[in-house]
Amino acid sequence: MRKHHFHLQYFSFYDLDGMGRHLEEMAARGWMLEKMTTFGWHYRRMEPKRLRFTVTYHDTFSVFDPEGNEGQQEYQDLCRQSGWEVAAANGPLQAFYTEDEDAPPIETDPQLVLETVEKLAKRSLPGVLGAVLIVLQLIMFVNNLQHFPILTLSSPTQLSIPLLWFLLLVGYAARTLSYHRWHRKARAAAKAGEFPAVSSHPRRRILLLAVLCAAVCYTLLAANLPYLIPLLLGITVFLSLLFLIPGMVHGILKYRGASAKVNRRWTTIASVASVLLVTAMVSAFIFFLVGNPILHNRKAQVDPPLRIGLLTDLDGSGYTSHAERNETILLRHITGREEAPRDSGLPDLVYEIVDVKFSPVYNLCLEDLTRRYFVPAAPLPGVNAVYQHAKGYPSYVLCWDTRLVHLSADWDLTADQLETAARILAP
Amino acid sequence: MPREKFQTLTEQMYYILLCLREERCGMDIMDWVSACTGGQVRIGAGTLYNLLEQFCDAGMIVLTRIEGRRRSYRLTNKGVEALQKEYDRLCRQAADFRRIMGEEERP
Repeated sequence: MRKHHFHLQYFSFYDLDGMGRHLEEMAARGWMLEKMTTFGWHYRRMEPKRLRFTVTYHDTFSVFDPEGNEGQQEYQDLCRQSGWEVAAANGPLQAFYTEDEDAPPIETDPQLVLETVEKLAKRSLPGVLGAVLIVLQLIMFVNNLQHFPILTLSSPTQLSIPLLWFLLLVGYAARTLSYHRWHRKARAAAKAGEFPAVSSHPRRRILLLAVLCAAVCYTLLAANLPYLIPLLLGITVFLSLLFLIPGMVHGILKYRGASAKVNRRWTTIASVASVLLVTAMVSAFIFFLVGNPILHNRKAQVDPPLRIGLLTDLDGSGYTSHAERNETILLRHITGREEAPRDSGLPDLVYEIVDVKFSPVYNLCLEDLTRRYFVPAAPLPGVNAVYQHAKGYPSYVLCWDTRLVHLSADWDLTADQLETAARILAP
Repeated sequence: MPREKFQTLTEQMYYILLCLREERCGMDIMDWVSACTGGQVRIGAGTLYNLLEQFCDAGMIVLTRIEGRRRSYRLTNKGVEALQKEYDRLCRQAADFRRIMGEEERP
């Protein structure tokens, strides 16, 4: 039987009642809160008990305060004397419990509770800068979508990274909006001398976190990176260093009883130093990988559907045939190339096939292919529409219901060759 | 900010200040207020700690003694003024009540 249990802290920071209720449920199931950290709460096994919990904030206590800080001790003593035992504390957050059904509440002034939460909200809500960065990322995505819709919509990485940013933005907006909604109600309730009721939705937060994790996994898997596991390990080591070094400095200073000011200063220095160290290590890592496409999106290689020998009398010997595929739920994009030996004077052939799986983006893809001055050309049997470069270059766009093909040759394609290519590349 | 904040006192603030006319520590304050008001006003430990800190910052009370982790406080002149002001306000309200309700009750 497990003796310890840990889970993520998923309550809104202002949902003190929700936290208290949750701790009561955990105690009833035999889990006593042991430690609270920024990332989650630790529990230890005990006999299931019916306990009352109260979670409070006190804004002058900080995570940088030394162990056994006098103010905090005095505060906890007062609570103890009125019947409440300390379960755990993390900076301003304090959790108390009691077995006494009649113990007086720790907080009796809703206005003071509101003021404390307001002060903490200024520290806890993600900064506007973060939201601006996310919006900028989304604008970059829209810009890419406008200028390179096929490349953007067919690349799993390019398509899923904005999804991550979008989810972060949704989380940010939801958190900010729900706080402001709560704050409006809390202000009215405090004026009436009542404690504000909180309708926190921890399940929504868990759902958002799960979707975010799934999106990250999808992005990594969809990027089809070689050496994914070593790469993930590298990222994990770098991220761990980023948190581990300042965390250790903070912990040691706290344990040694350094003042909050000293602890804050040295933890900040350690944070900056670890960011610089990790940046240097990541730079060295990337430098080491220069020339090795480990960080590049590897497209799937496919059997080239069109060969030079199928259109001409050339047997294709010496030619390099190459085709690769990029695919998302919206598009499948195959680019192929028939390259003649260098200085052979033989013609090259380049083509791309776009299979549209999501019809609303069909016109966007067609525009992407034909924007380079293409005009309608003579029809071909079985093809919905044909476009040729306006200057008469041997470059064509062939359209079917769900497929678009762009074909560019080094020589003037005959009608027969074009028809053959259309037949081969038809969906 | 604290001066703005304590323009009017809540019931709990009023009784804490009243109680600190004599030097008292946190636990004594909670007991005294409860006994003085016959249990009508009860101050939670968190609320008391918070208010004592704010009163100290506003200069309305002063820390007089530290015995271990037990701290005692006492009202300052500024605290007396705030208390007096609140008392006057309550008296005015009571007088207004008597004047208006008293008149209405007349036949």
